[in-house]
Amino acid sequence: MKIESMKEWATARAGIRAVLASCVVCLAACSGSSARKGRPDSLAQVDSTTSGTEVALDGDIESNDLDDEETPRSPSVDEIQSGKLPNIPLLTQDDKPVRFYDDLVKGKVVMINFMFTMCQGSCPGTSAKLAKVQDALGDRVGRDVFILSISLDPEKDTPTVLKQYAERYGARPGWSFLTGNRSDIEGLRHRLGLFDPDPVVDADKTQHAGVILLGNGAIGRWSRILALAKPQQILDALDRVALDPQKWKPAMWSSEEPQAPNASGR
Amino acid sequence: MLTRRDLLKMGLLAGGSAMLPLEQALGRNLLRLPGGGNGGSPATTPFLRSLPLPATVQPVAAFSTRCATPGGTVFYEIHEKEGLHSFHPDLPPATVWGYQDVNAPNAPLTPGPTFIGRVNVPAVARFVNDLPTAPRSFGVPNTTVHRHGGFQEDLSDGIPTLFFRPGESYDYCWPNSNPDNDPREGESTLWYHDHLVDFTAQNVYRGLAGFHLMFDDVDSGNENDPNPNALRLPSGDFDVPMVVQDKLFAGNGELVYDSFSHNGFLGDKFCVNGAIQPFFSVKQRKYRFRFLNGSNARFFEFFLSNGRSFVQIGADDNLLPHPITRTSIRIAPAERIDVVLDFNGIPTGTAIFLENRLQQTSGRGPDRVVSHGTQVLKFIVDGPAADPSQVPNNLRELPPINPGAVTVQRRFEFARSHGGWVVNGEFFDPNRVLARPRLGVPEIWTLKNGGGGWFHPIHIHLESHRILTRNGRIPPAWEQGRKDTVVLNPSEEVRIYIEFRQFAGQYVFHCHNIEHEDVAMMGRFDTIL
Repeated sequence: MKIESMKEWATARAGIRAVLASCVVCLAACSGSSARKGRPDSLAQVDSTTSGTEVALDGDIESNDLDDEETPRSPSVDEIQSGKLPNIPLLTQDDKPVRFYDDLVKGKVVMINFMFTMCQGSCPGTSAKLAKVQDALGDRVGRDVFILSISLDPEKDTPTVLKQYAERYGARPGWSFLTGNRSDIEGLRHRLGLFDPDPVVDADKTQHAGVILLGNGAIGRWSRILALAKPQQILDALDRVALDPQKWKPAMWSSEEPQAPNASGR
Repeated sequence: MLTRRDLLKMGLLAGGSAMLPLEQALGRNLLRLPGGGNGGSPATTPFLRSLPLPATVQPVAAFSTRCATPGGTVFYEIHEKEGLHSFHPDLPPATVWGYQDVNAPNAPLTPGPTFIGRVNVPAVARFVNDLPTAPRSFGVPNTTVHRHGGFQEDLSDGIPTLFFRPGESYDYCWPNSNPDNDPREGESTLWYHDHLVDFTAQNVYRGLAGFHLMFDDVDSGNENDPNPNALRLPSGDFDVPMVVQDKLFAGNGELVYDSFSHNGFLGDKFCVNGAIQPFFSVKQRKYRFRFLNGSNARFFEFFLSNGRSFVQIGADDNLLPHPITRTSIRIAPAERIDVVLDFNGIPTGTAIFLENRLQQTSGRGPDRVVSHGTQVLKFIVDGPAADPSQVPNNLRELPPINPGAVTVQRRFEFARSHGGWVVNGEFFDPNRVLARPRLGVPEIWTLKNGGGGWFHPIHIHLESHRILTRNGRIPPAWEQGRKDTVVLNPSEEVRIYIEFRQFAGQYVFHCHNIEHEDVAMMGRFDTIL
């Protein structure tokens, strides 16, 4: 993704505010994808006669391929082997343009979750949990560890909305809330493995809001944990991706009374 | 011509419900491999290379150890190493991690050498971690070895957090005794593999897996055995373990693993004993083949291209009471299927293919059986040979069970939850004990698939179990023996009978789709006195 994209995105952001109600087509849906597949930019091939109310997309969309769309394919071996991730443009809650891989992940230890600010009641308390983890990490956040919360509802979650949300959870520097182009973010979500093969389940954003990805961008080690974990468990799992393996300590387990006794009959 | 930027300036970049289907379609489309397999592993010519046969682990001199070492104890020393491994002559070698017998420093690393255990001959296996500390694209060099199907104390069971690090070693004490010292509990086909918390999938995929066979007076490993109790199944060169695994390769020959395959990683090359699509020359006689599915998430269903049947003699670590003739065998991750094939009467030069006809396109599980699958292995019939072996109609008697008298029942649901994997709503927490079965008290566990179309092969450590029902029905004959891994097909509820008889301690049970296990469909149970 070239830097022009950032300018385009900044321009587009103004556009969102201006014409949200009347827009019928999100043209940027193709941007990240066509670039990654080495295709001509589909956006440039929109028929100008459609005047923004209807858009014809050319044959390179492979619409005849969509019948078995329920199983998104893996990325190519070269893409996996490179260790790189989609370098999509995003905006922080401070309205700062960033690129996902180069600016946020490369060489860094990160915790990533997908969220949306309207997901108050139905989502697990991921943001609240991350706030506790942030507090436990103290000044490591923003220095050794970065937290990235990416909106699955980017049209509603503007930087302003995200800023208010971040303040509500006491986010400090090092915890970024990110918005961007919906299709870019959806592509990133799939690349990070947070999808369900069942399209109905996959369409439920709350299904993707309960996982915290843990990554070490310096060595390409990734793990993940459910947000329902205790903060200490999240910190332990973070250490397992962040630390030199020699610094882990082997352990037997504590012996406590069962918390979830499920035996009947005795 | 309106340019993209023009459109953006006009503010046409925005969301609206009317366009969502298109957007979703595009979003999915970009994730597809371009046209029929480009973007996958490099092409390889099938059947160029002979099937690799892992060597048998050889004993070493006795050493000082934490394990009890009664007279007759056998000692082994295995090194975990990184090295280059050739999966196929068309590919440059790949960096793998594997197990190496200290007596055979030039042997292939993966699969590891095969342990041969004898019942009631205790063994101490010292595993030395010589893995590199420098980071690799996948694989974490803190290792813990689980002998899958083994009847052993918890400290020797490969507790997922009880690892040893590069430069360290760990002694595993394998008593090789049967539960209740009952010969009907004798075992046959075990395997060993890494079990590191969070990273088992990466480490097993990197190569840390091998076979462990058990023999006793019945399954004696000698087709000429004069003992009237001996089964005289095909033995020696005619008893061939085969671990089948799917792998993905880069153009430079390196193994590729996607750390984001949380739903279950799939490869596009099928390897047998560490070789992509090998051939195997066979004599015109009976062979025993012990298939192990050592894949992370892929299921197989094998057919023979000549339409012949398999004679199944065992499932998982145990022999069946009687042989069963089957036209195809389905095998889930971590399951073992022990079969006899007879090439007698087939003309020299005949090629017979072992075909996988089970289509699987995602980590969720298999899609369907198709009419033409992938040829995984080519048998080439190569002349006559004496065949003193036999397949008796009575193999190993099953120990009696009495489910009606069981008073302890437990229920576990294996489900997807918010993109992760849970047992009874909770993901793995080593400090949460999900069950405390008492030694010597039989129990019935109900294992429920939480739905969503997912398949979960569930493995319970320490003791084999018996499948009582699948969705209320008696399971097929090949599932009526003793098993250590039971597949929960979508929406199934399986009831099993299990009794823990020795070794009070801390154990786990988990999904053996290893990506599901890692995040974190695993539960702890403590066996208590």
